Amino acid sequence: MKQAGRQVFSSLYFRIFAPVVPIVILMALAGALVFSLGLNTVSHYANERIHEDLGRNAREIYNICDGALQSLLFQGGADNQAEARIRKGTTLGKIEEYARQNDLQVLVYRGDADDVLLKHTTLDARKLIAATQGSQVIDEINDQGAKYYARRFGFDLWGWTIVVVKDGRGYVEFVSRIRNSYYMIGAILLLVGLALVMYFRYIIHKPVRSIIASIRANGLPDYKGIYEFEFLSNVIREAALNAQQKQQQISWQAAHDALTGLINRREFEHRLGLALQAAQIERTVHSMLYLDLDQFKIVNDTCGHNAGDALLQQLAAMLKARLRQSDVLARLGGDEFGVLLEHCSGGRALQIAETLRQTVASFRFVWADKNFAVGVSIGLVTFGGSAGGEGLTVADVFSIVDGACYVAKDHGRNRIHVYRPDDVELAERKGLMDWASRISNALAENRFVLHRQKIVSLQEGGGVRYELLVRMVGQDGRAIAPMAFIPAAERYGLMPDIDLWVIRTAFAHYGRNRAELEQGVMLAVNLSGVTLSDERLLPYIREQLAANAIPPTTVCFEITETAAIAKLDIATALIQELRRLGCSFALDDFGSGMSSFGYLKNLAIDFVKIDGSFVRNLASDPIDRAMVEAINNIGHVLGIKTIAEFVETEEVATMLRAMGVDYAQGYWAGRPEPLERPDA
Amino acid sequence: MRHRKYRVLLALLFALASLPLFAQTVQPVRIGVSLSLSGKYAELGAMNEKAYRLWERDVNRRGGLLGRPVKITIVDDRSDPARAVNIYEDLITRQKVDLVLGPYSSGITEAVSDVTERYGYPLLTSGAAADSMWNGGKRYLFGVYIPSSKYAVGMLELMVQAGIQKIAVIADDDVFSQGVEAGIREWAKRFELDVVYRASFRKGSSEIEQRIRAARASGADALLVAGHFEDSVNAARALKKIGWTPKAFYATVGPAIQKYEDVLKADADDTFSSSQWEPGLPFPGAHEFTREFVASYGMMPSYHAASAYAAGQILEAAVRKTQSLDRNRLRDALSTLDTMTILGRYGVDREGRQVRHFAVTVQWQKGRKQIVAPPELATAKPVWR
Repeated sequence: MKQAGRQVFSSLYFRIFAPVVPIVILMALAGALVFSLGLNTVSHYANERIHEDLGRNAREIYNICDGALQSLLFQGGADNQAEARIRKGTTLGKIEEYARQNDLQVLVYRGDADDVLLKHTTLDARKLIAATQGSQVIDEINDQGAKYYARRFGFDLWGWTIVVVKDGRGYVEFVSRIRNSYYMIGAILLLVGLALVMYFRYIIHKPVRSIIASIRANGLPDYKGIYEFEFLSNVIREAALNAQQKQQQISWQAAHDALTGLINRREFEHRLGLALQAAQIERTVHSMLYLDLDQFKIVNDTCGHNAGDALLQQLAAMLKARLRQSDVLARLGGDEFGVLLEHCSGGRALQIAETLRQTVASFRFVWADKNFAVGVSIGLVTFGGSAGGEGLTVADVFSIVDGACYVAKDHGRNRIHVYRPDDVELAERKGLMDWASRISNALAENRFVLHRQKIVSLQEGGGVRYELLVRMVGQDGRAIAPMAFIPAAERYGLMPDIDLWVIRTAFAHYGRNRAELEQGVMLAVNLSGVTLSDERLLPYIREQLAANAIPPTTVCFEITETAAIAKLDIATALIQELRRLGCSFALDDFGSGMSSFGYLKNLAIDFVKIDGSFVRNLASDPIDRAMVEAINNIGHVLGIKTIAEFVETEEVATMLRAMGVDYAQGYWAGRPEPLERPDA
Repeated sequence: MRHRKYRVLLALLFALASLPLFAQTVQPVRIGVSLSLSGKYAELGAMNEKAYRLWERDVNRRGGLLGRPVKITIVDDRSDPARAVNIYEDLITRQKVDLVLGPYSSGITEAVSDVTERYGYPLLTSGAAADSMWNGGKRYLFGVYIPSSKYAVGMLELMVQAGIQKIAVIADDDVFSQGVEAGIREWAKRFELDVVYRASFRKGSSEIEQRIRAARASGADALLVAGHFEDSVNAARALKKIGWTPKAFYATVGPAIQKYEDVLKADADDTFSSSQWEPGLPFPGAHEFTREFVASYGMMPSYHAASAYAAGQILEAAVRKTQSLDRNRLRDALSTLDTMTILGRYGVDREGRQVRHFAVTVQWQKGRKQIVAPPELATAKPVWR
């Protein structure tokens, strides 16, 4: 309402007040000035004319009297009483006639007011005589609303007093006639003003209307003509074009990922929605891939975000090049990509997925003379047509394909998992939120158990070590492998709770069963990357060590290479602090990531665990052998003891021993076993 | 041979027939007028009619108006103002006359002037002198006579010279007579005469005798009667009856015409009157007019006849001046015209009142009407009883 009111006012202002009012006021002022000046002149002139007229009339009447007297004298009748009377009488008649002829009133009297000789006036004789007794040349008399001007003079030889009277209405008429013509001039000025206003309005409004019309018709003004309006039109045009571009940019940004230029998750969901609709209505078959990069974090953490961004950009370009024009590639999150393969059956989709996987696997990312290999885990789902999936929502598809991708990751990464409706593993994955609550419930109900795996010394003088491993017990009592719940726990921030549970439970156990510790057994406890930055960690370890009287020297914490590198500052501080207490540190899974031997130097660690992927095929693969030797040698140079994982055979153990590796872990050395036997 | 004779005769007949046919193609200027041809003003109305016809003849002899013949339509109003009003209404709206001329008497003229004013027809008052006609601000009304207020001025001058001081005035109750009476009083004041008695009477009643008795009783030296023909005769008879012989007896209208003497015989002697015109006055055309009038009608024209003829002359002069029959232009011409007629000079003031013309004072002396004033035109000296 207020807005509308302001608009009406501003329009009125533009149309009327701004152009009309000033001109009309100017015209009115000019008219009033001319009018008052003119009127002033006129009334002055009228006044003068009254004086002049009365003066002349008086002179002429005097001349009539004078002429009559002169002719009386000439004719010798001056001493004849009768002749004089007649002459006076006829003179009065002549005066009357003169007055009538000149539209004049006249009064002739002798002596006082009682002896009126001629009364040719509408005024009362006495009043007129009384009014003309003063010394004024012209007397003004008001009678019944009318104004009269009177002039008195005498013809003394006959003892006459003559008063000539002029009716002021004649002058009023004269003045009003002139005033009317001034009114006319004023009206003409106003009309001219209005005409000017109309003209200006026409001049101004015509281009404005043209501009508005072309905006309405084309969205853009296109006026040519008067310079100012052409300029205005161009400015509006430019602004409108800019706005259009900005709008396009905004809508592009809303649908795209700024970094890679691929469409974003929102847009992808929208396209997926359309594909789902098409699947249901047209019974067409479509597939979706969910790609999650393996080891991307390492690039990001070790080389910085710029490197990570560059990697994503390069990968995005490469993936796009492998896809059909009709396929939709989107960046769904940090290192997650989605591919919507429209009108694509499961078999074909798997081929494409495999192509993408190989593309990523064969790609080497180079950054500041560092070389990184990346892998990708892919979840695949096909829906529509014979593939089924009726009633699926976008969220359902995402949940399925995301889950499938995790299964692929669980199975060792760099692989593809195809969803099948009877996929049990996936069924468990399907609700990750379920995992969060299941883990929380397990923690609350203490449904975790500790296992331990023996680490044996390959060299003389090395003691026995045990790595403590956590298992979750399902509500059905079945043990659940760590690979099944740890990703979910990491994802939902439940890992620190699990780690703290491990510390509490392990320390409590060994606090009660001190015999092994006293024999020199060392305990290896895993700390996940998330847990490292948990503020509760250090005081909790101290408290638990003290509470259970565990000698710190018997405790070794294992952190993964990637976790340590990702939180290098925190890791360094923590390591220093715990080492001061007497604890030792091991770097887990060394070699699995893009490890740099430099970290071995910088991190004050005591043990390095060589990743099982190098150890498993040690007997057959000379490269693996060289890697293990290199890690072992450098570790020893730095005063770090080495532990080989995945040692499954005597042959491997012998080779490791020959290489000088300090410890071995794996089925050869011993399978994981429950920490507390049921009978214990 | 016979055939040839017939042929010539036939041709002559055609030629004769074609003459009036040709003349008829020029439309006459039609002038309408209402006159009191019967009723109380019949005598003077007849005078008017005779003069109008005489002017009609003369103007057509001179070639008409703007080359067109003049045809005057005269309708009898029987001395009735209401009838006269209808006549003028009819002449103007139905007959669509080009111009009009004036009726007789002030009363009738004043009544019809409303009609002529309404339709914008200029009206020359050749049969009226009442001052009251000019009080209504009419634009199309023009005087021919001097106004009634000035009728007796000459008589008053004579009385001043004769040393008469006390006068009595009685007046009929019509507008003309009342105007005369008001003029006498006004001018008596200017000439320092004493009006010792004044009264009005109803026309045709015996009141006039009572008033004259009262005048006598007031000690007046002179009796002035403002009225029409009958009033003057009645006044003269009343004077004789009551046996009063004032130093001067003056009456308007009646004594100015021959009939007064015809009726009163010797009793008409010594009676003063005012005349707008007398046959012997030396105005251009007056002599010819008198001669023609006597030749045509076998009687002397009165001033009423002369004024009617003069009205025609004035109209003629105005048409000549404007070269048009446009009534508005004629009106403007008449308001500024200054011309001579058999009646004397014509010229009106801004209200249409006649100011150039003057009247003469006449007196019956031994059966003859003599001009006694102004002295320059006098045919005899006034006789005082």
